[in-house]
Amino acid sequence: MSAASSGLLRLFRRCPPANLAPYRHFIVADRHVGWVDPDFARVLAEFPAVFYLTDRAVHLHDRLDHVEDRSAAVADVLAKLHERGHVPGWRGELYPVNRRFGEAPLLLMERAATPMFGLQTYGINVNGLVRDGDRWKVWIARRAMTKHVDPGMLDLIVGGGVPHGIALADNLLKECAEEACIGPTLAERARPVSMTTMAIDAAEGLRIGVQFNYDLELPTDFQPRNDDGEVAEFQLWSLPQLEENLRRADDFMFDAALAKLDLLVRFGIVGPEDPDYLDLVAQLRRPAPFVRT
Amino acid sequence: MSLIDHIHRCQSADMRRFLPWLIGGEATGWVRRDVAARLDKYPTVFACDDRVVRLRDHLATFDHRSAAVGDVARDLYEAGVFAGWRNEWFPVLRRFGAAPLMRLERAAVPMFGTHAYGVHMNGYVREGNRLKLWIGKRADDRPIEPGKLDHLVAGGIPLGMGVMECLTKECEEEASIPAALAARAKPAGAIRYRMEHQGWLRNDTMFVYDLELPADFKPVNSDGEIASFRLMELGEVEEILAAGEAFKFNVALVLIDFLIRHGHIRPEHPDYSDLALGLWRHE
Repeated sequence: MSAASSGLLRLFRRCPPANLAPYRHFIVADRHVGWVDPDFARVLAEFPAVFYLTDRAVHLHDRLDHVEDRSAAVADVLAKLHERGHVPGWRGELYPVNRRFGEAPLLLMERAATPMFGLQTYGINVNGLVRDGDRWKVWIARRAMTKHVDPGMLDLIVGGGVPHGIALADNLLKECAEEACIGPTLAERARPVSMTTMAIDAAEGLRIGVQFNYDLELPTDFQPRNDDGEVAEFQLWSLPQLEENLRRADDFMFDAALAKLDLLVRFGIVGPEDPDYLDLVAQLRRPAPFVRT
Repeated sequence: MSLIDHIHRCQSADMRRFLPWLIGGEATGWVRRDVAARLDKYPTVFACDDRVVRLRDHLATFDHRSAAVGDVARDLYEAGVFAGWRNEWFPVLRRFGAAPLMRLERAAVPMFGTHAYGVHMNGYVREGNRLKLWIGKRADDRPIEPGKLDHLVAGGIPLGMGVMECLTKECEEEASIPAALAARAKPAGAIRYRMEHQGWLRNDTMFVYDLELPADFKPVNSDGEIASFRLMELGEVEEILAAGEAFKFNVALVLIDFLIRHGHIRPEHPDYSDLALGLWRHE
């Protein structure tokens, strides 16, 4: 492997920022909230009571002027498209459509459809850390080979999307319990430490995401456990081991790798002596790809 | 005033007022339009039109560029276009870590709008589960932001100095932190902003460090830049930030970053996303 490919920017070469030029703006209530592929835009145009197309954009019909009306109308369309096989992996979870976290949603939409509309979604990640003298180790999960998305890849021990109607702190407790059997007393000690963003192409469409990262110090005798069969194994790594992996391999899921690069920067494992340092910091702080109106 | 106003203040440059300054055909800085008109009077050094200012291509080496631009800078200083000559060289860089294209008197950097790099160090003390930050008060005779609250240690990185070397030197000068203690400082990220300050362009990148200090450590300033130091609770730091402009403008950004990284400003804050993303100005 060449020296050039051993840098920490390899993640962004594997998954570069999506080229949004071919996409149409998705507009709700005059606000740019997403990106729609031109082929999918033509499908949406079959529902003129709900969507209409202009040169550069797909609009949700202005006649739908409340979040309830918009959500119901879009849900009807999505149900029909789902029957035609257009919305794979239906989850039965509603995600808020807005332009920044916590803002009143303009629309609620089935999670599985959000990549097709290029919507910004929100997620939490937890770095499970264990003190090792004056250094730190971090718990890493390997996804089960039976997972639909990214089987066998390395992941955080806890992470998940944040649906509509659940507070971040509650979502964190729920995911900690479900994904690693971390009880509420321990999970409550998780501390928010950063935000990372992404806008990449994925099999299911565009993944435009805002991730809230938390650090959680776990006791040395704590052993994460997974009861729902989604994790094949947990491993405890030193931070230099994590850095080495991120430099040499493509083993991590994209969002987990982002959170781990952020961890290496915040903990000073990577510093200004790395020739890619400032590019790396810039990649972790990419602005959301929406036109502000 | 709220926290987000510090971001708006430091990410405020209206680039329509500036022309790109090209060295070897590549944008390297930004020059105010009225300054471009003055540079046009030195046709052997600059080629100006209504869109760009170019350094003449015959100035092809570090030495030639530094000497020619240095003479012009001295002229403009003596003509009163800018003030505060420092006799300190800053490198002109297109990318941090690359070989400098030339050197420039520090006081002339904002006039040419080239990237400047600095170190900022948060010095903190742990008390049980809580952190406290050492905060300095700038001397009243400082040319920039006199009397404002400041970090324990901060400084621009001059020509030929490494980041850690600069931090060690500033630790000694600004807070009498010995080299052995300074060596424990940990890099924690970087912040980039571009603002108009006193009419000039600050195009700055700050390397951020955190240093945990012993409870009995007392900073002492030895270069006259800081008048006094005080240990502050994070809650008080946030209150002062939210109340106004008591902190030096760029120190506010480093403190917002510290408060985010240490879980003090949380995602539930209504401006969290804009605060977090506002710490980096993309080209």
